[in-house]
Amino acid sequence: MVKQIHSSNNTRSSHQEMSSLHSTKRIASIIERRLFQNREDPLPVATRLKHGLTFQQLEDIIARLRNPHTLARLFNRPIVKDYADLHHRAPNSEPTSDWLKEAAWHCLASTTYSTQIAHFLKKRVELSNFLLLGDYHKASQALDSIEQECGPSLYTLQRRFLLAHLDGGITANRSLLNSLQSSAANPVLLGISKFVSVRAEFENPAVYYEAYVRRGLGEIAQTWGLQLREYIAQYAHPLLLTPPPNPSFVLWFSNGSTIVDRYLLTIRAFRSKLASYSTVEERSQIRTLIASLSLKIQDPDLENLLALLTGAPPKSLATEAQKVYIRALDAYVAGDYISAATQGMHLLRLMPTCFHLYELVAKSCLYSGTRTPELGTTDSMANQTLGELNQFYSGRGILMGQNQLLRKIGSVLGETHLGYNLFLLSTNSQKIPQLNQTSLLSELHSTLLNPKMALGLEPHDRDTVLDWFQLAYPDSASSQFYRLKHSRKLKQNKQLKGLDYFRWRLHLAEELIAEDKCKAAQRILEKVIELLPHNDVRWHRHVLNAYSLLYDCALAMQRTLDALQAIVSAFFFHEESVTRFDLASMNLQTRTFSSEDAKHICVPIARFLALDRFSLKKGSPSDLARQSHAVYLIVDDFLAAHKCERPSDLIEVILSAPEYFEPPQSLNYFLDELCCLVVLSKAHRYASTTDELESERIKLCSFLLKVSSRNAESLKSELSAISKRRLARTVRAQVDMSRIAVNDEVLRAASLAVHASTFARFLRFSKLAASDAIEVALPSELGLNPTATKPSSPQDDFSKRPSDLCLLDIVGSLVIAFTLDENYGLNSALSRSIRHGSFLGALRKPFEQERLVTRRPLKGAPYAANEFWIAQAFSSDASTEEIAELFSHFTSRLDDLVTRTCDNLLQVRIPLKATSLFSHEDSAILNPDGLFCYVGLDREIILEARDSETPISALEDIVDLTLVKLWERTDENLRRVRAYLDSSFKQAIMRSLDELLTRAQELLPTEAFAGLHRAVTRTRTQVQHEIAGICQWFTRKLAPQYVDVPLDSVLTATIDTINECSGNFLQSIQVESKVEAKVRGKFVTHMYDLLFILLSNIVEHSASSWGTAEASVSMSFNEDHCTIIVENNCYGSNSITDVVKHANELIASSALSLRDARQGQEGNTGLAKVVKILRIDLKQPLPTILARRVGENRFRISVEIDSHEVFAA
Amino acid sequence: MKILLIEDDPHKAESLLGHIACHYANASVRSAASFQTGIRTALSDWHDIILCDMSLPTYDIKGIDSGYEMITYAGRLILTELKAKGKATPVVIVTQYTTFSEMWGTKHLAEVNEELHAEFSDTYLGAIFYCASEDSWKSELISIIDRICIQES
Repeated sequence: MVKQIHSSNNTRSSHQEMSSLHSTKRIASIIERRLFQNREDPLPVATRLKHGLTFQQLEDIIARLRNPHTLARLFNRPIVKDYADLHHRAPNSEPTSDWLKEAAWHCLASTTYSTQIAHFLKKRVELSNFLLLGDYHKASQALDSIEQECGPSLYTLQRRFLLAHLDGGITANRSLLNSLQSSAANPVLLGISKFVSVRAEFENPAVYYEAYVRRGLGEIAQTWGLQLREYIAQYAHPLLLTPPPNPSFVLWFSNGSTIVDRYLLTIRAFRSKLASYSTVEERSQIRTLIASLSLKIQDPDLENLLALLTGAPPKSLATEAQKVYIRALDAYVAGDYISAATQGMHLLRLMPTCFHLYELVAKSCLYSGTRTPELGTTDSMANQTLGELNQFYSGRGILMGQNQLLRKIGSVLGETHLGYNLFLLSTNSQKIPQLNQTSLLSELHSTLLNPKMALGLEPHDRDTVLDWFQLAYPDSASSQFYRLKHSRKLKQNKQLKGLDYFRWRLHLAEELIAEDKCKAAQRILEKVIELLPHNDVRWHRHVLNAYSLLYDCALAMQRTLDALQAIVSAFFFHEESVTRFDLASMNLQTRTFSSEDAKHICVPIARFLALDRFSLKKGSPSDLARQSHAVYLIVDDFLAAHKCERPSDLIEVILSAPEYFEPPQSLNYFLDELCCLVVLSKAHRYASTTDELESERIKLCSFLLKVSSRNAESLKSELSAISKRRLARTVRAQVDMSRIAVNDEVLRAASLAVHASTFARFLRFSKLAASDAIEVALPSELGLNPTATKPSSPQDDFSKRPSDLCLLDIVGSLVIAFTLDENYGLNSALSRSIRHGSFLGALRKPFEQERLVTRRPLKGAPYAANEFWIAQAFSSDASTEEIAELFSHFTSRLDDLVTRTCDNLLQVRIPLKATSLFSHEDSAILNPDGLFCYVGLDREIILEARDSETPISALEDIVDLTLVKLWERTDENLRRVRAYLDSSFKQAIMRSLDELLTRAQELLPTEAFAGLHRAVTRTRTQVQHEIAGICQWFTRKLAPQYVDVPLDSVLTATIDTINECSGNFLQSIQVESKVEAKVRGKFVTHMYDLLFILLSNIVEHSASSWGTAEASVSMSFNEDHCTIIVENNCYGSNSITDVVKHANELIASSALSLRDARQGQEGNTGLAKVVKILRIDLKQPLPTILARRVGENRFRISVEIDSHEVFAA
Repeated sequence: MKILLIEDDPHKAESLLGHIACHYANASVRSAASFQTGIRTALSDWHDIILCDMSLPTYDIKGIDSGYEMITYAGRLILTELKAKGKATPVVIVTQYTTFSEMWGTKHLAEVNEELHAEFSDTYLGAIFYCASEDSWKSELISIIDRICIQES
C-alpha cells in the first residue's frame, strides 16, 4: 500500500514530490494494467486507492489517467448523445455498457472529489429507491436527469424499459420500444425488440424461457459482443443462463421482468444499506423494503432463492426457519439486537449448519452488550448466547481466528488449487464448516507432495503452511500430519518451478511495490525473469508482466537507467511490449543522464524505441529521412559518450568494457538496426563517399558475425549485397567508355610495309640535297639575308625538295589512313560509334522515359502525336493539335540539335574528304582551325621533322612522329568536343526544356503542368548524367583493364547489377558446365557494355585457343534478340589474372581479334558474329538486356536490339 | 559576404552563381554538391547565408560514386543538423520543385515552406522556386540576401 503523504506542509521537498510522482504514476499504471490488460474488476483497485492517498496524489492519478493513452482506452467511446447514436458504434463492443462505464467510474471515483461521478452515483441510488417505493413519476424524473447529465446507456435504457413496464405494463413498454426503433434503426434495439415480442407472444413459460434465452438474449449478446454477456451474467441474473430448475421457477420468471428487477434491486439495496445505514429512519426504510419484498415473494423456491442470495443456505432451510430468520433480520435491522440474538439462537438450534446465523447472532450479542441500555438485564442472555456460540465453535473444531489462518495458508499456497480454494473459503464464511480438518489435511498433503500442484513453492513457504495449519488445528498431531511434515519428498522438491509459482511471485512483487518495498520486489522479479522460460508462448504474458513490474520498481526507486534496461529487455523479449511503457518521458529523462549513465547501450536503444516507430514504417520518406537523421543523432550521442569517432571505433570499447553492452542482444540490435546504412549515410563524420560508408558497414557486419550468430544469415546477405555493389562499381570503372578508337598499330604496321621503298628514296634524296641544304642554310645561320634564302611558304619549299615529297607521301597516306580508314580510322569510330544512332539514341533515352519526345514513323515524316500528354491535358482549353505541336516542336528541336552536332562537328576534315555535305561553321567556332581538321597537318609534321635536331634516319621515326602528332590534334579536338557538350550543347537542351515548360504552362491544366514540371525536372537531371556519359565517349580508347576476380563472381555481379538496374533482381549465377544467359529488358548503356566486355574478356582471354574460344561462344539470333551462349571450356582458369596471361600470348600470336579475314572465316557462329553484328553491321546500337533463369544454374541472356535509331539511321 | 551554395545541379548552380556575382561583386561563394559535403562545409566554417537545394544526393557524384541515395528532404535535414549543432546560419531553400512527390503522397512547396517556418523559425528564411525560364526567383533571392546584408550592417 502506498504510504500516505500528508500535504499539511505547503513547501514539500523535491524528493517528496518526486516520490509522490512515482507513486501516483505507479498507481495509474497499476490501474491501467488491471483494468485493461488483466481485465480485472476495478473495484478493489479503486477501493484500495481510497486509502492512504492525499488529495494531490489523487489529482495526479486522475490527471495521468486523462492522458491520451489512458483516455483512449478508458473512454474508448465517448458518451453517446442519444439512442440513435448507438447505431454508429462498432457492433462488436459495448460502448455504453455499465461494465465499461462503471470501470471508468470506479477509476474516477477513486477520488472522492469527482463531483460528477458522485452526483451520478447518488442519482442512481435515488432512482432505485423510487422504483422500489413505486414512485414512478419521481423515478422517471431521476432517470431523465441521469440521461441528461451522463447520456443514454444500457443502464438507462434498461431502467427506461423497466420504468415503462412498471408504470404502464407491456403496452407502454412496447410503445417505448417502437418510438426508439423509429428514431434509430439500431441492431441493438432490434435485438431488444425481439426479446420483448417474444415475451409477449409466448405464453407457455417453458417456451418463453427458452426463446428468451436463446433468441432475445442471445441476439442481444451476439450483437453487443461478449461484454454484454458478461454484464448480464454479472448484473442481470446468473440463473437466467442456466436451465430452469423446475416449472415453478419458470412460472415465476414468466411473470415478467418486474419481479426480477425489483427483486434484484431489493437484494442489492438491502445488502448495501444493511451495512451502512444506522439511523432509525434508514432502518425503517430497510424494513419497508424487506416487507415489500416479502409480500411480493410468496413462492417457497423464491424464498430459497432469496436465502441463497442473502447468504443463507437455501435448500435446507424450512419455511418456518425462514420466517424466523427474517424476523431475526428484521430485529437486527431495527436495532433490536437482543431479539435478533434470541431469534438467531433459536434458529441455530434448528439449522446448525447455517453459519451465516452465527455471525448474525454473534454481532447481535456483541451490540447488545455494548450499545443497548438494557444490558444489565440481558447480560446473562448474551453470555449464554456467546457461550453457546463458543461451544458450537469448539464443537465444530473451529476457533476464532481460524479464518485468518486459512487465508494466510491460501495466500502462501498462491494460485495452487488448494490455495485458491482456501482463499475463497476464508472469504466466504458459510462454506468453512464444509471443510473439516481431515479433508483439509488430505488436500494439503496432496498439494504439497504433488509436484504438479506444488510447483514453485519455496521450502520455507511449506514450513509456514504447516505451522499455520498446526496453529489452526491444535489437535492436528495426527500421524498423517506428522508424515506430511517430515516427508523426505517434500524436502527434496525445493527447486520446482511452474506457472503457479511465477504467478504467485509476480503477485507478491506487485504487492511489495505497492507497499514501497521495491528492492525486495526487484529481487523477486529478477529471479522470476531469470527462471521463466522465455521461449514458451504460454509464459509470455507473465514475462512481460514481470518486466512491467520491474520497470515500475525502477521508477519507484528513481533509477531511470534500470527502468530503461527493463524497457529494452522487454522489447527484446517481445517488440510490441514497448507500448506498455512511457517511452516519451523516459526519452526526456535520458537528456539529464550523467556521462557514465549515457555510456550504457540501453540508452540509445530506448531513445530509438521512443521514436515513433510506427510512423517510421508507415510514414512518408520525409518522415523516414527525418527519423533516420534522428536515429543518427542518437547514435552520435552514444558515440560521443564513449569518445568514439565512428561506430566501428566502438568495437574496441566493446572488447574492453563489455559491462556497458548488456543485455547481449542490445549490442546486436544497436549495430544492426541503429547503425544501418540509411542511418550512417546521414552522418557527416563517418564517411565522405559511398565506399567509406560501405566499408564502415562492412566492419560492423563482420564484427557482428564474429561475436554472435544472431541474424547471421541476414548479415551475410547484407555483406554479400554490399560486396556485389562494390564489385560492380569497380568493374564498371574498368569499362572503357571511350568510343574513339584508331587502331594505330595496324596503321603503323601497314605503313611500314607499304612505304619502305618510298623512305629509301627519301634517304637518297636527302643525301643528294645535303650539300644544297648546307648552302641554303649557311646565309640563314649567318644572318646575312634570311628572307631571301628561306622559303616563303612550306608549299613552295615542298615543291622544290624531292625528299620532302617522299615524306609527304608517307605522312599524307598515314594521315588519310588515320582519319578515313574504313575499319580502323577516326572517321569510322565517329561514324559508327557515335553519329549513326548512338548519340541520338543515348540522348533521347531520358526524354523518352518521361514521354517528352515521340518518334517518326518514317524518316522525314512528321513526328507522331504525343498521346500521353494529350491525354493528360484532356481538360485543357487548348486543342489537341496545339498540344501535339508543342511536343513535336520540342522533339524536332532536340533532334535537330543532335543532328547538327553530328553533321557539323563530329566530322573529320581533310582535303580528300568531300565537304559539300557539311557545314564547318560551327566547327570553326569551337576550333579556329576547324574541329577534327587535319588539313595541312602533313606539311607541319614534315617541317617539324626537317627542323628537328635529330634527322630522320628510319621509317619508324617519321611514322611514329606522325602518329604522335595525329593523336595530339585528335586529343585536343576531343577535349573541345567534351567542353562543347558539357556547356553549349547542354545549355541548349536546358533552354529547350525551359521553353517547353513556358509554352506548356499556357496550354496545360494545372495538374498536368505539375506532372510535366516534375517530368522535366527529372529529365534535366538524367540528361546531365547522360551527357556526362557521352562526354566519356570522346576520349581515346586505352588498353583494356581487367578486374582480378574469379569469373563466376564477375558474372554474378554483372547479372545482378543488370537486373537491379532493370528492377528485376535475379539470383546469383553459377558458372558450371555451361552458362546460357538471355538478357532482355531496358537498362543503361554502360551496363550493356559491362556485360559485353566481360563476356569478351572471358572469351578473348581464355586459356583456350582462339578457335576454341570462338566456338565456345555461340549465338542464336532472331528479329528481336540474340542469345549469347558461353560454355565453360572457353575459360579453363578461375582467375582473370591467369587468363590474361594466356590471353597475352594469344593476342601476340593472333595480333588482332577483329580482322576482316577472321570475321569472314569464323564470324558466322561465334563471338565474331556477335561483334560483327553489334559493332559493325549494326553500328553499335543500344541493346536491351535481360537475364532469365531457364533451369537450375542455367540462365538465358538475350540482347535485344530494339534501337529504332539504328535502323532509321 | 560569405555564401554557401549547396546544389547538385551544375546548370542551376551556375545560374545562381552568375546572378549572385552580378549583384554582389565582393561576395565569396563556396559550393557543395551533396548533402554530406554541404553539411560538412556549413559546420566547419562561418557563412552569412546558405542557399540550399531541397533534394540532394548523399555524397558527391564523382567518378564511379553515384552519390549513394537521393535525399528528398535534404534541405530540411541540413536545417535540423545546423539547429542540433547550434549553428544559427540563415538558410534559404532554392528548389526547382513545386511539389515533392513520394510514394506515400505529395507535398506542395508551400506546405513544406510552412512546416519549415514553424520548425526553424530562427534560421529559415524561406523557399525560392527556381525556374530557369523565369526571372522571379532572381528578385526574391536578391531581396533575401539584401535583407541579410542590412541586418548585418
